[in-house]
Amino acid sequence: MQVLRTESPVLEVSELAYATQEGKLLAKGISFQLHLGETLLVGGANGAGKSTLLRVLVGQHRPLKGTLTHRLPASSIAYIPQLQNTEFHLPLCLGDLLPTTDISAISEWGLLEPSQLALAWNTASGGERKRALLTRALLQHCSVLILDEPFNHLDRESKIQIQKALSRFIAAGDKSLIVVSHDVPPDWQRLKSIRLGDDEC
Amino acid sequence: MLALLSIYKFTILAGAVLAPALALLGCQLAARDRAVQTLCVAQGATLGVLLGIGVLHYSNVAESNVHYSTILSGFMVSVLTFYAGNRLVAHRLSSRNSYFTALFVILLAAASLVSAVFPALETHLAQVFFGDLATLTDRDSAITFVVGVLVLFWLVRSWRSMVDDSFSLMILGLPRSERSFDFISLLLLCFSVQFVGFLFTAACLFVPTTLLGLARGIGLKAHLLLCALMASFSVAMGFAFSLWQTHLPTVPTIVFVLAVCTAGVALSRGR
Repeated sequence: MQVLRTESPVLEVSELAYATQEGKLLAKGISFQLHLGETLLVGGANGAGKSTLLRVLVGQHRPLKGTLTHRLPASSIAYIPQLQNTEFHLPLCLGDLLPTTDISAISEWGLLEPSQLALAWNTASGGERKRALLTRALLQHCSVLILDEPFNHLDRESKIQIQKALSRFIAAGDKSLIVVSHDVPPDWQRLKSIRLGDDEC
Repeated sequence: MLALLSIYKFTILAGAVLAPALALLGCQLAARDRAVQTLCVAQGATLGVLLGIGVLHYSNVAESNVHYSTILSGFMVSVLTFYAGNRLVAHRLSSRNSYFTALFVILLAAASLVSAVFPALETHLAQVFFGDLATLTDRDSAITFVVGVLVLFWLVRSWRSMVDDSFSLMILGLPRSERSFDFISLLLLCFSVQFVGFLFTAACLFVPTTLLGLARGIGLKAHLLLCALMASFSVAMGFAFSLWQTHLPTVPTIVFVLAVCTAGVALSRGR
């Protein structure tokens, strides 16, 4: 892994503008820096381009203009978008999604019980699916975690479990988090935010 | 019966190796919601093979050269179909299968027109559609066996990353580089359509994974393993059955055995 000087941002965005695939301008003039240990909160109304911004950050959507500088290899960035489909043709169970079968490593994050690993993806609840996807990302030892609405449609218990896991993820100070959400716990430190759809970004 | 089995032993072996390769590929194609697109591309390969046969016959090329040369024309038309289809559905999240179905119907009509334009193509049209394992020469069987083994090796070796890619594509909407997957899939499709026909190819691709999808409590590895085993077993059993009941056509018998055996396994696990 690339060693960074603590003052160097892992991600630097300057004067970014991007549009929908049909060419409708979604946002412009977005600038921010993200350092290790920081959390960036992305807010804004529906349709303001929050999810598209995340896709721009991971290189899946081409911006119209502006610069985007990553100082970490792509393999150290994990991105969990909102689910496109809920049903999968193959009979996957939640354990199949994880990069390890080491129960202690999986349980360490407190998101999945060993008994839940055998649950079929297609019959698991929304909360179990989200917790499995997050466990997968956390077990990949990423440095930057990018999450699109991780708390949407979750019951209170799942929400608390995910918030705790994310708190642990950023607590060490050598990881960064980018989150589209309105449900960030008040105890999260080094929080930055941008709001899309407003004049100032 | 035993004498016939002895004559066709290499053909049966070749089919029993090619079928699981197709079945495992079909699992990934179905997981990527590409079943209709694959039928469309296979129809493109069919058209290409017919066009190749027609043009080469028209040019009085020897029959032995026609057989292998048409793999190239089949591959070219299937690649064209693949890219044209992708262009057609680019950025469309819904109704993709409607576009592919429309393209399939147009290609089906084109195949019929080609068989009308070039003389004596009707027999080839039936051969490419319904195939006939019994007409494979020993050389064809040897080639089919080698291709099946190679593709099977690739699929077994990389099943884990393929499943991950299929999941990322379909559930998370994350694009993955599919170049090598697409290239090998297209090659196998063209080869299979040319050597064993459209029906055998499509059946081995999608019947096992679809019917086993009805079963409850079968895990991922068991699903993949059963798909491969059922395809291989059904080729051997179906072929042997058609040798015993000589009036039955080989490939439709194999497809029927495949459907019945796979459905039996699926239903025995409960729905």
